Amino acid sequence: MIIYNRTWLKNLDLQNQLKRAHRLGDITAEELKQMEEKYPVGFYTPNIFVRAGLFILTQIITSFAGGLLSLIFSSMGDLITSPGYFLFLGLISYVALELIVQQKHHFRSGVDDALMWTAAGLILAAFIGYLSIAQRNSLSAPFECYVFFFAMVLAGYFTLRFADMLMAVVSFLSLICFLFFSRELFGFYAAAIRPFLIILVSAGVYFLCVYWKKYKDYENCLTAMQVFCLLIGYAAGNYFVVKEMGSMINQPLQEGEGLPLGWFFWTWTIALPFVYIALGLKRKEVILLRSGLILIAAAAFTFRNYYHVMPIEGALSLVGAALLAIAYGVIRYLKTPKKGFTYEELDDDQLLDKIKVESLIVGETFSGPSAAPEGSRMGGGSFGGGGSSADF
Amino acid sequence: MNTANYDKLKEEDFISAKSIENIRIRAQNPLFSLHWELKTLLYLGVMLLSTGLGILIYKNIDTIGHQVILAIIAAISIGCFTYCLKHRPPFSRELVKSPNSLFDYLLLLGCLSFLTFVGYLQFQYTVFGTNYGMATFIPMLLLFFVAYEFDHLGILSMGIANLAIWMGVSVTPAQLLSSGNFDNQTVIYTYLSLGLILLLAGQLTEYFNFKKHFRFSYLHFGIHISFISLLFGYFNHYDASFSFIWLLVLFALAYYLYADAMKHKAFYFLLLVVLYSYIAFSILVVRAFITFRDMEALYFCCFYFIGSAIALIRLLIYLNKKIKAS
Repeated sequence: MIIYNRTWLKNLDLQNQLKRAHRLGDITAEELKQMEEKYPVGFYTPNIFVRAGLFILTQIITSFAGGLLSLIFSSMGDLITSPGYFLFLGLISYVALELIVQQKHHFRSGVDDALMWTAAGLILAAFIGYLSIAQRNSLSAPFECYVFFFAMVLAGYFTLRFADMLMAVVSFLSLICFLFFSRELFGFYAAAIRPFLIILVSAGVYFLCVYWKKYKDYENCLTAMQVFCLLIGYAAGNYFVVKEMGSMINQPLQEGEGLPLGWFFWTWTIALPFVYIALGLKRKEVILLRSGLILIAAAAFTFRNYYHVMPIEGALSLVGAALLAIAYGVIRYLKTPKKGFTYEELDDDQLLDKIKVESLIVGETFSGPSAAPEGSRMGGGSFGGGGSSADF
Repeated sequence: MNTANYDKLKEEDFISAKSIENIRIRAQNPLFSLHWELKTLLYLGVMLLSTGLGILIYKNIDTIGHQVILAIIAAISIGCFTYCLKHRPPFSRELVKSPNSLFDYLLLLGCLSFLTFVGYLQFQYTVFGTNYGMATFIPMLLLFFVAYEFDHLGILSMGIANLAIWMGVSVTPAQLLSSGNFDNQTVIYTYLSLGLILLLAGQLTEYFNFKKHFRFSYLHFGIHISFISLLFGYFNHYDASFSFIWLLVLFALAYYLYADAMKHKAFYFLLLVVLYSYIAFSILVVRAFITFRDMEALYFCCFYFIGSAIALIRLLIYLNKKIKAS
């Protein structure tokens, strides 16, 4: 099913691990070089900058090539507005993708990314076009149901064929959207069981991903899907989400009215992030740990949305100070590695270092508020209005 | 390293027994690094704390005394700087590795609260009177000084942004594009000179062999600002007969930066130069096409973009190989 040369994929995995071992100083450069020669990888995989450049340029080519074809066919009645035409363009992109991967051995080079998304987008557009025509003859299920089901299958196909992380995530999210919109399938109690259904499905997919770990070629896809399973599974039981989604679809809840089974959703909202973190630390799993850290913020926002314990600025300052204190404490504690944890960077990611991401983020986020033009600083009331017209 | 790969290694005879042993030991005692998690926590902590304090002060400006607020901010700033001075590694013209991330982020917090301090002084007491240049010049000087003294790239980026404020514009790339008030001629000239100053600064760091690793930040901001302002300069004078001079300058600059990037094997800068020159060149070509009749111009444009993009892809692949090989 997978389009890539599987020996090369295995060799790539081996090479990556050897490179890491070399960076850590376990094997010598000579040994690394000999292994690389013995287990060659024939893919064309340039660095991230080339990839970005090639992605943009391929998009330019596909859009202008599509435009040129449309120009030529534009005289033929309503051909270029028909869904079949989108399907035609999508298939051309797909064939180009297959050729470039099979003949030129592109592997995450930017060219294949661009062609893949173009092809998938056009085919989905064609499907939606056909569906709108069919809907005039009345469909049995909601429109979105068909769209998301098709998107799931399509993205699933691309995932299996090209082992693309994002496609895997899109496929999973489409599945969730499909469940969300298919209320007819579950009859009267659809809104009531939906949160539990989505939680169960997320958990199921998560454990499937763990079980599928043996398919090494899809390791990245599985990891990405696990992250989203954890996040969606949390969101499905989050008090805020359940309440808003429930009242959006059915009749709105009265002001001040709580959810049925409120205690369950509150427990889920507050406790689950900590469960993730605890499990992540216990099993030393990055995915669980980081998801948990992100979700603590979500839990805090949910809580604040319903209970205003203190004004936002006080909360920000306190939480900020607390985070600094926690980080300080942990760094002090881990000065020497304890229980298999360390604060040291084990495997410095060279790419992040190369473009100095951290400094750019700091520059972008912290120069914002103080970068308001002088005029607005004197405006008295409004900070950071960015008003170039303010005069003084 | 997983077991399948490990077995593969053991079979090879050119892998020394010591290397195998190294890998085995590492696999037996896996260390789990919390480095990035803690760094993110520190970043969030500094961000939340400085934002929270900012709003707190802004809202309570009438109720708590000004001196109290000033004292609190000053105390935080001084506290941070004291910690950093105590734990700082000695100054060097080369790259100095910071003792730990905590050091980095406390330094950042110190600088941020100093900025708030100066802004507050100016807002409440107008210390600098109406001399707004002074009010932005002093924070800028401090930021650059701290960046060089403690070797902190993030603060250098903030310093560059403050340099731009001082020159009357704001400069992080996102704002550069979204603010979009390029109609004003003086703005364009200010941007252009800012960009060129940054490029020059980047080159000087290397020429004097003084904090060479800062070159990246200077060039990153310098390249984006110079090219964008040159392009906008061209559009601003679109109908004037001398408008082509802007693009000529752009191509000259691009050639210089291209040679420079090749010399330093910096593919990121090379990519920027190639893409910006491509935009400039395409602008010229499209301008030439639209002098034709309508439909033909469209066809020509399509052919041009398809052909040129393919050529550019080949060029990028070629340049990448060339940089790798050299």
